[in-house]
Amino acid sequence: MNSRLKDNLKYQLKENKLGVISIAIIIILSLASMLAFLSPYDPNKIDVMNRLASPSKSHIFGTDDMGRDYFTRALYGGRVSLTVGFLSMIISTVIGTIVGTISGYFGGRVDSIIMRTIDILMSIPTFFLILIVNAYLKPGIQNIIIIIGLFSWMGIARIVRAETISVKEREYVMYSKVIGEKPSAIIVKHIIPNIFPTVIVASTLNIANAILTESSLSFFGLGVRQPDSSWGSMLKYAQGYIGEAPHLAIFPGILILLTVLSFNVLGDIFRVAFEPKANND
Amino acid sequence: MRRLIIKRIIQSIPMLIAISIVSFLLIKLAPGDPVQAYITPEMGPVDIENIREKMGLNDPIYIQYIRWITNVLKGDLGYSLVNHRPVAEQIVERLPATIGLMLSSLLFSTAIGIIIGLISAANQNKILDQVVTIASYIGISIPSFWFAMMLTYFLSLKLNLLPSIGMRTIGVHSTWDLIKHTIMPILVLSIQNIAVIARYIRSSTISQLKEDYVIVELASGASKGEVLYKYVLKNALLPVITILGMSLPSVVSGAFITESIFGWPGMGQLGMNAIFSYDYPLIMAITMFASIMLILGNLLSDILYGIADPRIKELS
Repeated sequence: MNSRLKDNLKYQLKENKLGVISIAIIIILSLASMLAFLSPYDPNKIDVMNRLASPSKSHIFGTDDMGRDYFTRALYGGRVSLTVGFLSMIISTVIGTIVGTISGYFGGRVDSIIMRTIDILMSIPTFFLILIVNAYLKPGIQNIIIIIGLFSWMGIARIVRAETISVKEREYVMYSKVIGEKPSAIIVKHIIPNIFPTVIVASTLNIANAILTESSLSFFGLGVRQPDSSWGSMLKYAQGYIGEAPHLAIFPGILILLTVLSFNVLGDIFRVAFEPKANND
Repeated sequence: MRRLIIKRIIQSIPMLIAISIVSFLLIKLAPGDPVQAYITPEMGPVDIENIREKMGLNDPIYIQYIRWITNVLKGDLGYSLVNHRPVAEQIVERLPATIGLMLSSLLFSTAIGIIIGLISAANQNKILDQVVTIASYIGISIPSFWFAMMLTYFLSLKLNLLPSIGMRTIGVHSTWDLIKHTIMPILVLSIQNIAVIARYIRSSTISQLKEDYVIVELASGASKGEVLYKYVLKNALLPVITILGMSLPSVVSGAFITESIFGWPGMGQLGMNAIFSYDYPLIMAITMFASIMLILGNLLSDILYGIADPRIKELS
């Protein structure tokens, strides 16, 4: 990343308070879930006398239907939600970047075949497709990561392709072509570094969507399942107690909302910083 | 114009074929042997092989596909594995509820999104605008199933204002009852689009406000509101058609979630139930229907855009 982009980013963060708040939220939530083991409560310790307790000083998120400390469970759930979001983003970014650069760099028939395939994939309701595949396979964290990753690279590929087409006309790419460098070398050495800011924007927004998809899948019981838990699967169980213990439904939902919102804000800030043309206000 | 429409229709044919292949493969790749459903304990391996032969499962896959697609084109989508009713019949039954929900949500979100976007742009960088900015971030980030849970908790459980399930109260046939059942599903299905459209209208209005014609109008004494509604809105509105076309996939996905949470008797709920009961013929048909709806929706938005924008009309 060159220094002009860095300066733009610094400026944007200075201007936009929401951006700083979002970064803080992401860092705090990630650290808290990584350090969840520091909590004085065991997330699996059952305490029936204390079940469905409302938030209090000793249990700030209250307790669940088995008397387990809900705050600690939410931290462990956050681990799963954030990991799924991050890892499936990596998968879709890698696929999207490879497919997009190939399509944009080679153009012609390769390009039109790839783009038509993407059109087709995008005209099938992805969420339903992911649900079906998840129902076919055994639900589990690993499968969810792979499935979400495999079904959400199309948007990134489209953006990367458009960017590649504009970068490949630059002189240094022309020069590399003339001196006989291999296309794969040109893509890796010259194109990808130049489209990297665009990839960062797309992948930040992609994490937000992956976390949302995971939570919806788990909410419907086709994602993370017992004994693992994520914010989405916590909401699935909270649904049954919404009348007597609404806090069980409120906290994980707010955590999902805050996380997704922060990644969305951050993605927008990256976009404005990296593509000043996109900023029209 | 007509040539443009015909061209776009022809372009969508290969997509429809590809989607039919994907739907067909979905059922072929499904775990389990379809013959299992027909086997009774007293059958021997020979009987099972006979059934297999009769069902055409021993034919090459492309023959099976051709046979299947011919049936589909004749309107025969097979039978549900769960209640053994024709799949086509069940879909036709459920279609009006889904289309009604989706159309009302699209209309509602467009109207509200435009109003919010305009108000926000007219008050650029004031507190109201900042509130709208944050609210629209919430709108695109909120998990729709959780929003539905919260609405149900506060509006149905706590305040007892709205019914939380179904489309009608049994035995009641009033429009008011239907409207009461519709409010929460429409809100849940629309929140994301409202945010997307409001954001879009806000930024395009702000850039329109910098155009020369606005300055000229303002200089010759037109009020800001007049300029906004008479000129700016017209220019900002056109691309909303494209935005709506682009947001269709999320509306279709959202319909699955919304319908199954609110027990809305539409295709989305049918599809979710089909997944949970591994009802393959139904899953396949719904995948196909939802995809066709998406393709047709996009086609329609392209055509509408062509009609609304005279420049495109001339191009063709």
